[in-house]
Amino acid sequence: MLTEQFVAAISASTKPNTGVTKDAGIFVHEYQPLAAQRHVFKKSAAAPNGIAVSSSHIFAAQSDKAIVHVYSREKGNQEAIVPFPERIHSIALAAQDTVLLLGTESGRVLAWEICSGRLVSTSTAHLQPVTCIVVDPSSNYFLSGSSDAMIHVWALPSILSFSPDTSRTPVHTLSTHRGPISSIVCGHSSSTANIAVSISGDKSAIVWDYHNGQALRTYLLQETPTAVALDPADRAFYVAYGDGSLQTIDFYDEVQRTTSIDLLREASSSHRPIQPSPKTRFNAESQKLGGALSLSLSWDGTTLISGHASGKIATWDIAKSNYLSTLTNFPGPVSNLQFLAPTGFPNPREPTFKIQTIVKPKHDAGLTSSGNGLVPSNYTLSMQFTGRLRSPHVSATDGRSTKKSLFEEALTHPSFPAGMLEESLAELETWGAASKGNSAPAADFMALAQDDNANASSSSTSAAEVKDLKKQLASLQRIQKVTFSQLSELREEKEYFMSQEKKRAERTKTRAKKKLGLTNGAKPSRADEDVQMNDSDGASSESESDDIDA
Amino acid sequence: MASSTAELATLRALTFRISSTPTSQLPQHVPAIAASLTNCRTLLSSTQSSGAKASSSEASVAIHKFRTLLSTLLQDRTIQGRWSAIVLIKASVEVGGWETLQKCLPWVRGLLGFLTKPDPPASKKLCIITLTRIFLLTREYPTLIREITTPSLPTFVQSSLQIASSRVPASVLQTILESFSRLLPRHPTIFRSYLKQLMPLLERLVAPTPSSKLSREQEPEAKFGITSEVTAAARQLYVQIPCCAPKGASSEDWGKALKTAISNAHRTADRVFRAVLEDWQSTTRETSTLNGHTLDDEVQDLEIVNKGLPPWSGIYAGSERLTSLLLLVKGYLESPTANSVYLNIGTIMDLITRMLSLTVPASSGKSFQNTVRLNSQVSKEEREHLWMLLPDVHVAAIEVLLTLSSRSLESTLALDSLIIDQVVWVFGAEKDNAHVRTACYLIIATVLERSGRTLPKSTIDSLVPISRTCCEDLLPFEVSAGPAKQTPGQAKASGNSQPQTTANADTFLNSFPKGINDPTANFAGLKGAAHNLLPVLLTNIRAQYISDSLRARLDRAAIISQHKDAMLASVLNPPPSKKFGKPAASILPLMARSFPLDKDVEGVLRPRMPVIRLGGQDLEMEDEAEEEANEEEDESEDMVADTEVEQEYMEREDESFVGHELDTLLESAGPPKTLVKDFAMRNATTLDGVGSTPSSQNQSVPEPTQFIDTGKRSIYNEATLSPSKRVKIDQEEQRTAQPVQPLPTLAAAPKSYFTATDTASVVPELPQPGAAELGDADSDMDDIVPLVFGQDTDDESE
Repeated sequence: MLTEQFVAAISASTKPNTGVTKDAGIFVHEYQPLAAQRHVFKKSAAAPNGIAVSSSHIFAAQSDKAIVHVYSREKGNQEAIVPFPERIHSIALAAQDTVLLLGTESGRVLAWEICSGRLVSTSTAHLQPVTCIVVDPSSNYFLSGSSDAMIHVWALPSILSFSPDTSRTPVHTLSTHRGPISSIVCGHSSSTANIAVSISGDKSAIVWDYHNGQALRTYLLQETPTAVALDPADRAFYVAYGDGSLQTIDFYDEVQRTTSIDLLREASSSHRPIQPSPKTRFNAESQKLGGALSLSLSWDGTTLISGHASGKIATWDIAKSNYLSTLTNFPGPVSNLQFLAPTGFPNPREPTFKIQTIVKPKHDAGLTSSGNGLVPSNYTLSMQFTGRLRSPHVSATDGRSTKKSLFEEALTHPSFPAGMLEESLAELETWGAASKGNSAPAADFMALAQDDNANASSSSTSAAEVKDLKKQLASLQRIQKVTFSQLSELREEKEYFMSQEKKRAERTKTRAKKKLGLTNGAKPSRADEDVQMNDSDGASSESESDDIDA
Repeated sequence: MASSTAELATLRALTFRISSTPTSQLPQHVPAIAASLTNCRTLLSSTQSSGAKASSSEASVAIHKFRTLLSTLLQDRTIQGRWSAIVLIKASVEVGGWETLQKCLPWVRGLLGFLTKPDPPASKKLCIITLTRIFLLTREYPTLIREITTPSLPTFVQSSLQIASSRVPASVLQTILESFSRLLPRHPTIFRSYLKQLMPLLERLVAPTPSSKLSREQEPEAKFGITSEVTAAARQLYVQIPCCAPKGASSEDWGKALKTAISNAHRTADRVFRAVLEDWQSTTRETSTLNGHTLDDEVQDLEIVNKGLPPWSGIYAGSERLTSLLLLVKGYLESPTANSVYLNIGTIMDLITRMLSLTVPASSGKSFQNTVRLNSQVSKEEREHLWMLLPDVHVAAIEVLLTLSSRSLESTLALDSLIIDQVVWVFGAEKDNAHVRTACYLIIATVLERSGRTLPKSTIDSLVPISRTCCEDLLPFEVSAGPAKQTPGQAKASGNSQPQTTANADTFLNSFPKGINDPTANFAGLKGAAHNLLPVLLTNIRAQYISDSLRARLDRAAIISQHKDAMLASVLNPPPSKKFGKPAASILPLMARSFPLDKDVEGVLRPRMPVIRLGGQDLEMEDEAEEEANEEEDESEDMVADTEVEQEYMEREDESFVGHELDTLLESAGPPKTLVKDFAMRNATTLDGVGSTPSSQNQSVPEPTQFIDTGKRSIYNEATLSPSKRVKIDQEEQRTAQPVQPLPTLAAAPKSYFTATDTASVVPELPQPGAAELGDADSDMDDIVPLVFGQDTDDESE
């Protein structure tokens, strides 16, 4: 059964502590099938865009502090507190959750490889704190937004590269916004046609083609947006506002439906700001939710959940644009909300490695870059390898087949693979034939084997034994000859007597016939034989005659 | 119960068949019996203790009889009987579950006894597999491990080792090694006590040097037939031996073992590479002292390195050893580890850098790579041998890289530019070797998939030779293209240009080489790697970094080899349009010609518009009950409407192409729409008795927003009022559009991608008068459907 969970983090505990949830800061909450709280991680106060969740860990940048809390999801405890030289305003995971990107107060972005502890810093490209970081699905690019209204696009591999001449500067700078960037979401494509949507304090949302650094579409919103979420198929985005209301902004709405197919890339409309209809906004004033601070979209893309200043988490039906329910009520403003991919698929793809424990950043290990562009000798990854990799031998002549070996195939086969059975059967046949050829009446194979063993062990005496056996054989043959001759004599004798007897019988018969012939005239001699036969098996002939009658 | 009685009958029949057949003929029956045994799964795995009912007691009797029969067979005096027992035990253990496993201790004993008897090797193989399977199946049940596995495993290991040390066929040896490598990680403590016997065996097998010049007497052990599979199995087991280390030390041991393998490889390389002075400088170890000294006249390593691998002699043996050691490093990366380990990427990359930095010098002196410094103390012959052997070493090194990247995935993003540099270097020197080419294609594809989009132009330029060769390897026509062109005046041309090089009479006979003149036709691995690389090149490199000529070459290769993935990749990553001149061509029409039936082509050609429900904000005003009734109606109607919806999407596209505003259409076409709606909803309204449905639906028509150009609207109103005119416009559009549609040639395709799509979607149908309205009505209803579906599925999942 599939299980869908989300992670929520509160920025500060505002309510009086009550019972179990004392100083709890991060909540793992099950959304489906049963809406209930599953895990709690304590002592965290995360600012917006301040948590990052991997399959093994949760990272939480603490608001107003220069530390990141690391929680282990498996053990359910706080694994480490990692200090940094300056305050961290936003974090995000990249490269299959092995690199943590941290946006700092001074406007730099730090990249921390959590397997190796290597820490790389970018140039101070932003003038003010980096408020949000998003990573694109291929982990090749990430975008950082700052209070200085700028968005920078960075190439992650070149930042991580060991080569000394890589520039750790942004690839593109997106500078159309006029207010602080509050949040960015990235599209779900890993091709170069991907988009990103940013919202800003200047009451606008801009859709970007960040690969080329172009603004595709500008939306003028009625109020200052606080959070943004993007449809799984990149068809629309959802914006949350400070008054607790949400808005659907559809890329394929009435206005744009009339343009060409790839609406976003229509050049003529990229400079024309669009004011989405206020009708697409929806709210639930009766619920007293407070301002919406965070937004996340369920896996199937049909339900939106929003975290509010009152600590409530509300679910919304996107299609109907209405409020569904309040899932739970947390003891502080919900600053972060993140749906996790559902778990429980029958055949999940096994990861190739697991990160048991993180390696804290080493600031001075000489790992940043080496002079010659080679990998430093102390560059070490700490990970557990899981699962066997199948990487067949590279050969130009044979295709690369990742087939199981015969042994593995046989091991999990319901009985044995047909090929293996046939091979073995064939061998069994020849084996049996060979053993039969050695000794004809060898029904008992074991005894023979033991005899063989004995012969082998006493090789010195074997010659003598052979002689003995030959002698025995010769004598036996002699006896046999004698018996055979006796037998033949006896047989001859018997035959002689038999013939004598026959002759006598025939003589008496002919005599009797002669008498009969005198009385009945000529009668064929066959009748006698018939009579004789009837004597011997009368019943059968009777039945035969019955059959003929019928 | 019916199924269980059937199973009971099957089991009885099987039991009878086994007992009635003479044992000498039994093997022929066994495969069929084993196959039908799978039908008795529930019966054999059911618990027999709860046997109150008559049927269940019958079942337990049958099962007991079957098991006893197998036990008797196992003790049989003929090999046929025992062979049958092995196969049947395996089959019944597979289906039997816990119930059968629990009772299989006597079987295990019997099977273990078997390993010591002189039976045919293939039966031994089956026996080992069966035992391994039983041991593996018990791992989920601690009681069974305690009762069955733990007591019998030592005997198993002992007798298997005895078999392995005697002269056995390679297949049996391989089976034993593979069985061990399955069992060792799960029972490290049991195997720990046998390591002393195991290690010498493995050390002979992991890095064999069959062409060693040492005579047989000099070697410690007699050789027996070692196949590459046995070596691979031995390697797989060898790298798992650190698991046996006492608790806590296993990850340390793993690191040490990997380090030993790497340093052994360096040590071997010191000797094998002695003919040259390497440019490589280690980042991890001090350079060897070997080069300064006087050299032996033979490349060899006679010492037994720290209790390890046997000695070797001769450069061929040396390269075999080096390759095996590289593959051993690969083995460490392939196999899972018991717990977290420290993988020192630095030393691995150091070794690979060393291997890849030494390349075969180009024969012509022009190449910039011809910078190998030679060691004058070494004979020319040895140097030439080295050149011959280097490609194999490089392939092995690239294999290590491939495994490293499939193990660490994106966590080693930092290495990618380094890897590309080195591979390009090797490729430049050794691209004539098909194996090196294959390996280079594979690793380049892997790296590009990971981080190709961020590569700078300079790196992409360095990949151009690889891309070109990739195309050449894919295209069999490339070679024969030259002569084919010459056909008109061939005799003369060839007479002039090729002044009687060789008198190959065959070339004159078949002037038109029909048979594809492809030197790499039978190189499946090379073809596969090139085939795999082509779509990656077209997808993961930014289109603006590929030169026009290379792009044409890649497209050509994709088209001629009818490589759908590559063609699709080319279409999805269109070349950038130039500011001046013609817009860049797309190979979309060619793909449409080649694969008209494929779904992904269909998706590109006629995209269904991704629809998020439109105009839903007004639905809140509607009556809930009524809406639900409508939803039900819609669901039933959805099947019918589906096709119409599709048409509607297409029409929407072509309308947009024409430049019409759909909203105005909606508004202006109000009355007919209502009619259609009413017709569609008749059932719903009669059911509910609510007559207001049409009007309330009508309200939900979205208001035109403020951006709509009024001038346009007036034009369009005319168009909608006279549908025939609209059709005419569409048809005209088609007529103008179709001739422009690019022909399936590369040269003449000055058409942008989106226009091509539009024309394609216009072609299928002409809009009927009123069809658009009908479609729209449906779309409004269809808008509700997805959300109904969504909720329904939610309900089901709960």
